[in-house]
Amino acid sequence: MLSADEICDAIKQSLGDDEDGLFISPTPDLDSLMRRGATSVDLRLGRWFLSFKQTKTSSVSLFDDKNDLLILQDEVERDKKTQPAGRESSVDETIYGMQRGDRISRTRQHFVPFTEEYVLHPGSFVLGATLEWLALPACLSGYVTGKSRLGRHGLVIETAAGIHPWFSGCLTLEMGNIGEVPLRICPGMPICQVFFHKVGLSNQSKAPSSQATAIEKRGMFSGRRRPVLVPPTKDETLRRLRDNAKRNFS
Amino acid sequence: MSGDGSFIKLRLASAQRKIRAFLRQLDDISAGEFPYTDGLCALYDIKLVFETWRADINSLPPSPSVGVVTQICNGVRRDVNLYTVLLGFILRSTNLRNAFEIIDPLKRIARATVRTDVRLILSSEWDYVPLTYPMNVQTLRSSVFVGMPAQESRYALCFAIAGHEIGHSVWRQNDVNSTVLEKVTNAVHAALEHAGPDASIDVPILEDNCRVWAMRQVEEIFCDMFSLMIFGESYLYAFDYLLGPGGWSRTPGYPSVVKRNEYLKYAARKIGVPFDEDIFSGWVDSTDLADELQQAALITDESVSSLTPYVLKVVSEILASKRKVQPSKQNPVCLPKAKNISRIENSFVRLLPYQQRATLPEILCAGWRRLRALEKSGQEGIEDKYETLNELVAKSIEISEFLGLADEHAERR
Repeated sequence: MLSADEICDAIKQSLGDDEDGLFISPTPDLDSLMRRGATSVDLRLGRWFLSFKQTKTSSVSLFDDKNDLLILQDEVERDKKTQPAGRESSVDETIYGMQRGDRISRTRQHFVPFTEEYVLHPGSFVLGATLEWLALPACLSGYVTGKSRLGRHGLVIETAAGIHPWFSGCLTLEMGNIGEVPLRICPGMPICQVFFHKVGLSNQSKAPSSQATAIEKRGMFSGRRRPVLVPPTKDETLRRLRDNAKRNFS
Repeated sequence: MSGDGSFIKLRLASAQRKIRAFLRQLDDISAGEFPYTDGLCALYDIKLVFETWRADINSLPPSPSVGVVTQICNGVRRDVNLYTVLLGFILRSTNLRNAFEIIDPLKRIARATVRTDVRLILSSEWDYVPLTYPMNVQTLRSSVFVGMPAQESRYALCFAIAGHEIGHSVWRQNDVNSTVLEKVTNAVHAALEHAGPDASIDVPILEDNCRVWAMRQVEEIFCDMFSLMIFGESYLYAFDYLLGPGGWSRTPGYPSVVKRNEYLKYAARKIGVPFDEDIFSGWVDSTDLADELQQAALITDESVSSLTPYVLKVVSEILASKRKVQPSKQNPVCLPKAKNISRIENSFVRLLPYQQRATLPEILCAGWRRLRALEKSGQEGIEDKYETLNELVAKSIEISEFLGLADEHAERR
């Protein structure tokens, strides 16, 4: 784990356009970090939130990457059955051509200016994003955790979410209120912390990263400034397993 | 049909019902989620207009005259029509498709140039856009309405065009109309003499029409030059993107497409705004006007063309006076600085947002340079690259805003 000194050095490196430095913007208060001698960097809450709408969707699959499409097909089928013979379905099938996130949006975005607040009610869950944009070099990874002083009031943030080398973007934060009173949070407040770790690199990878490499890698891992809901990753093994099991046993 | 004057009661009841329906709609919109309160404040001002109408009706004597009732009912109808459009505009300003990071820095520009208490309502529109409202709503003089095309409102780079719409508010607020009227009148007169119109034409009417059209054209050019002097090259590129490649039908109140582009290039060279020489290449000029308008348009165009250096001077003087009022390190009224644009562009090349304070126009200029470089290179995956660039631009704007607020706080302490 990186010490306060090492974190500060890594951040200063990035200020000098060194691709092996740790980029965090807005840059944290390095003097305060050194004074505290902390081994983590506090990150602030950004202004975009993503909450979940109440929809007629009965459930959400966490393993099927075609989940949204299937729900829509179900809806079309159901709708066709309820339509009198000869009449078109009222569900617009042309939306199949749109992007996944656009098909059936289960989420609702919110933008909260720096002067305003967001209230997280007991039992509710919302996605937020860090105000800071992070870009990690090849030699660093990180873990995001909540802040205990907020956690004691019931505000939990997904624990120990990993950040891989070359990640670039704002971190999406999964925030829940497991307490019993509504919690007021506001953009710009310290919301979580990141611990950084050195990555064991092969001798070949230890060479300084060129700007071209950094751009290529960041291009692959480039994140977003708003919280995002990522669809399940396609897993061929799981697909084969389920297909074969269905074929053999059902 | 009764002839006992009950139509007056019915007419007034209709007006009251219209007011009630309007206020109910307004209340529904007010109950929505407003990321920024400027729209809510405008709704409050509009509400006052209709509450005044209601009070006027309630204070009528038991048997008001037909003339008074007609006047009130016409007023209510006119305002319902006028403000319903604005209700829709304000409602759409809350849509989360908008790049809200833009609002604060854009409002700084509006406050530095229009008036210090100005409210900015930035909306995404489905109809004719980009546009500004209201040209003639006196009740909302402190509100600047800027409508961006709905499909572009999530993309920060296009917001450079908002400078033109703010320019219309600057024009009204500074009563530029009165400033330029004499010059425009003289220019039209000179152009008319030069043209030597047919004997069959009523010269005073022709001159009047040309003056009205020339004033409108001058306002458009004023707004273009205003935006250019604030947003630098980013205005040219946003203009080229949103309105290119021209070819729309001509109205005499607007300069022709080609003329407008020429004026912009002229101003850019004069004030030292760099731009790609091939900008506006391939644009198609406006379609010709109807025959009966041709001569008037020629006279109008000639007079406006001769006024271009003067309009640039008027814009420069207004901005110079605004700069004196608001001297600050990050004055939003200054032209974007070339050094800062290069630094920001370098960050975008590295796929990182800019870490320092910069003005909104500087960030937009750098974004446009990067985008044009990417598109010229013909690299694959340009769509993804544009999305990423938009994120970097919006984040840079937010970081700069955050740093600016932190600096202001430190300065106050």
